[in-house]
Amino acid sequence: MKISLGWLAQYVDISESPEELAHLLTMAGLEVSAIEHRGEGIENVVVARILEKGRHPNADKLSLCKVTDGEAEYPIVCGATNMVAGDMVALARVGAVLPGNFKIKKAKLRGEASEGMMCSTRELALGESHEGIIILPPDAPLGTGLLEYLGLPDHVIEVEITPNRPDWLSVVGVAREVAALTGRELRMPIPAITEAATATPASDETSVRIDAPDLCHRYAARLIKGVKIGPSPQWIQQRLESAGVRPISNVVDVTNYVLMELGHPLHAFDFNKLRGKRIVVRRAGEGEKFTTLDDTERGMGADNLMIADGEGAVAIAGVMGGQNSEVSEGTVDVLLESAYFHPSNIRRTGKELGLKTEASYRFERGADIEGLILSLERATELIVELAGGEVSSGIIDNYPTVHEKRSVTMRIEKAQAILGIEVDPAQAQGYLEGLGLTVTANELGRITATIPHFRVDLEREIDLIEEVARLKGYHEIPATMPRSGAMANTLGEAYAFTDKVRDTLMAAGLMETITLSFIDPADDDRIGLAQDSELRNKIEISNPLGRETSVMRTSLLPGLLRSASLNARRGNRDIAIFEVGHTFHPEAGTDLPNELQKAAGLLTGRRAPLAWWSDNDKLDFFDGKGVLESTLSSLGIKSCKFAPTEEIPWLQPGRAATFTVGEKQLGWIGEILPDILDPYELGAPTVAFSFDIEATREVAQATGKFGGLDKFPPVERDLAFVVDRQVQSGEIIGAITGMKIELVRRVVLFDAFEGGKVPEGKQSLAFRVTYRSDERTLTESEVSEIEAQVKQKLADSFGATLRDA
Amino acid sequence: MIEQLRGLKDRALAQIDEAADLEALTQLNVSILGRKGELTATLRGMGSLSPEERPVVGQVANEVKTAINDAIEARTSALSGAEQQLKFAREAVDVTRPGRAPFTANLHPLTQVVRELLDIFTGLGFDIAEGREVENEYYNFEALNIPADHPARDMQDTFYVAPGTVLRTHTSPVQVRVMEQTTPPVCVVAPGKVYRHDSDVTHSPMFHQVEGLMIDEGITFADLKGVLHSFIHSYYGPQTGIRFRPSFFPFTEPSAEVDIQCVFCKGAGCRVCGRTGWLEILGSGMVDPAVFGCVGYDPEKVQGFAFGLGVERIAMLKYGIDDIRLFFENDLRFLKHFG
Repeated sequence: MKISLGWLAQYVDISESPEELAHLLTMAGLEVSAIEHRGEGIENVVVARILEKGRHPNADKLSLCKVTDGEAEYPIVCGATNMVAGDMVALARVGAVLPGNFKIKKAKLRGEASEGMMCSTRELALGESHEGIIILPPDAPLGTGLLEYLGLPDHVIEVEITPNRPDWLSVVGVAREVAALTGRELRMPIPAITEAATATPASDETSVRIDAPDLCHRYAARLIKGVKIGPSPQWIQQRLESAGVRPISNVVDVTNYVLMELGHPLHAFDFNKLRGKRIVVRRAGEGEKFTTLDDTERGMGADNLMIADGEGAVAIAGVMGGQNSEVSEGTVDVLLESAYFHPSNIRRTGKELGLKTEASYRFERGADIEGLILSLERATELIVELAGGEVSSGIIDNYPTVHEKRSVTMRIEKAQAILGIEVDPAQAQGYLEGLGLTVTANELGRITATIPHFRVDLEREIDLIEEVARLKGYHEIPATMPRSGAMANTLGEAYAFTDKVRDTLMAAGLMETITLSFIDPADDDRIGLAQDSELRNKIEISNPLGRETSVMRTSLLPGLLRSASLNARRGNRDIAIFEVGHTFHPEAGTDLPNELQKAAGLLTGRRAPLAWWSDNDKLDFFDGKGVLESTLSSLGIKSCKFAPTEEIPWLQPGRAATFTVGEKQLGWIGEILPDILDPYELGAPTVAFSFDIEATREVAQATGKFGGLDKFPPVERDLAFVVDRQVQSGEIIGAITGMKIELVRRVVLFDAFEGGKVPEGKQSLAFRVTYRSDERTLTESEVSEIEAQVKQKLADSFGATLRDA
Repeated sequence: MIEQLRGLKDRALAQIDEAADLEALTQLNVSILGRKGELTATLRGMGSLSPEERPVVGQVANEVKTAINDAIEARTSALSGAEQQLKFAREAVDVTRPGRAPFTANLHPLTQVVRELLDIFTGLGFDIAEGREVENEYYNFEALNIPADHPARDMQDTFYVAPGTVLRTHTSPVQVRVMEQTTPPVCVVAPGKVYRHDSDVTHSPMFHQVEGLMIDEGITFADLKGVLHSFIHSYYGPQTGIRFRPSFFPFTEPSAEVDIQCVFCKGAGCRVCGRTGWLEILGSGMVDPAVFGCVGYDPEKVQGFAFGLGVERIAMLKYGIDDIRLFFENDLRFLKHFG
């Protein structure tokens, strides 16, 4: 909200500079986000009159004017079209300076001399309008400095008002805070109204009936007859502009002015357009249609509160008026509304209609039910002042259930316990009184305060404690270290494990990425998910930013592919990345999905960086698997089994595996199908893997006790076999270890090849077997005996033929 | 005989001197000092000498042998040194070539910042807690004193996935769940992803927060200041100016925004801090009694504070990043900068 300091000073003395005042307010919780200096940097701009307006001989879009400031006449070439001869304008004379240090000089424009410029509001940085030049009222004094005429320069502060403080949403509200902070006097406006003695009392001419007292707690009105609609004087227009409100006409401007001044939203009806000349406050009929001031027809629901006349709706209560009762040029009699509507009902209505107005913004935060009469009177006073007319006698005030004032008690002891400082009762009382609270009791360390209606936020003891701290200043509270401590560190174990996953993947050369958790539903097709795949079952966002970010991911793969793709398109084709994050899996019977913490990696491009020593080989399945195995090993997974799979639709069959520990499947790894890679502009091979971190943690083994170094030397023997190409080396190692021969300690595949001397369809595999006993040194014959058993087993199980090693 | 020995010595020394390589020397060693060598052959004649002559000739023979031995040794070491030098010269490498290094990688800058923050808070005695990202509206709002239809909901534009279910808009639901599951004292930090319906150069629909919560008997606002002072001083340096400014969060009261002296202009005022000299880095406050009511804690017995900070904001300030989207597009050139 924008507050003019010139306006503010009407209600409270201000001796601070704008910057000092901004600091004072900011440190009291009323954050000033910007200071605007209106009228600064303007020199030598005066009120002038257009004497003649003619066509520019050489340019269709320009006019040639003769303008006077009362002293001399100036030829001026102008591009605007909104003026006529006789208009009063803002003239920047030769030698004038405009904001942005723009100097006005004598010029020739398309061959015609131009000695000065007629200014728009934007050129003077006084408003946004650039549709034409400023046209001043006919009575503007010729030759007067424009700044003087407009009451400038002025400073405007922009304040960020937290939702708990609707009482700050006005100039007077901010003035009240300044008064409380500085101990100065607050000067409230005191409206002076002369009711027409001869006129009929308002209550004889109109009435207000509240059919929904639960939603409308008070409805007050004034009738003003015989007004003349026209433009507002400059001072009102300037103040509205300073607050960012566009001036319209005197009566409407007054309601907006009082809204900004006192914070209470008002509405002016054209009284003669009210059918039956009366007001009925009622709920909308289901499906009722209503056209608001902004020329939009809206469908209403039964929980929306409407203001109606004798026949139908004329306004959406607290949100926006209707076209059918709008004050317009021909309006003569005005019914002025000042009411209180239920905050959450107004909020719901505004949300449902997608309509947020200055009025609804204030009503939904809580208006001042007692202050609404002051606002009504203030607006009545100003309407008569600016638009003439007579005020019918009497206020119509329908207030079915009077809101009692709350009283709240604060214990000094509790204030001290919360804040951690000594609180002086007299000082605390002073702070609260400064805010307009009536402190009615002060005994036994208790302060009881009666809360004015404009402070909707003060309901509990803690609210008063906060006020005391706020006014004392947070800087007055020291920084101490809590004496609490002694907390068990157990919650963090899962987090530490996840962090270790990140560390090991990074150490293996994979860069960590983070992508958005919501993805494109089309990603399912991009990774080739079957129509009935469980992974297609996703949490959908009801109000996504766009379709591309509308469902919660069930796999980290789409994000990795997207990141890899971006890099590939930008020319980096050597990519090794991973991501750790949640995937979201809907569960029957609950709206909360099962969230799994997963890690996934993707590698593509060269195996090693381009270098004098590297051979430019592309990486493949086994590079990914190496990363995965070393990671799992670091995490305490010592016996993980890999098995070929054809179940994973995005992986190339024959280069895809799942891996398990015991019965628990941890994840998958494989080369992505080339057809899937193409749209991402990624080349094959691209290897990806994924595993469930929590499942991994459950089977991970902590590092055990150290059992000492081996006492007896091992014997190593190599075995080389030719077997069918389809045989998996893991099966052979599994067969050997499955024999459960105690002395066989380790089997390592150390060579594998096909082609050459190896027959078509076969492969040669070479294993190094380590034999060792814990009790004795093994003899050659012992080892040979076992080796013979192993060979036999492999010959039987795999048709393995021994090759000379 | 003595003449003979001296002649042998002179010849031998000359030959040794002329030997071109270690192999020639080895041959000389054999042909002179070996069992069938010249010296040996000469000394065989010793038997024909008189007992008076023997010691004299013997002494000369020893001298000759020693001299030849020494000469061979000296020549050997001279020759082998030269040979090694040749070998080394052949094996010399270009030391300016890069070493054999694999691809290297690093953690995402946001992960790094989260770690730095957590390191400080765990050092101050905070445990780490995590929570779900799709959350009940109750935990995200109501239990945090943000009722439905309350304007405070406008402070956080929310993604809904079902009526009553949201993408959490802050890490604060973790507070509620932790308090529900434990009895005081509670002292946790909760890092994690949060979601808001907002997207531009400074707002991402997904971002990260770190939330802190400390509850015990007698925890005060002064303690809140103490803990955050020590956090800020360890993260930004002990000289960093700090200010606490009143604010509003539905789940804390009194509430405070915490500003640090601008890290760019040191408080003089610049574009980054909007010429105020201060940067807002976190929100905090004393846990509202209404929140205690929701989790069954007695606000007359325990008190505490909560705080929350935006990880992206901290990282953007720290590294001078002006577009938040860089964090989530994962250009390797950007990520590598943080290695």
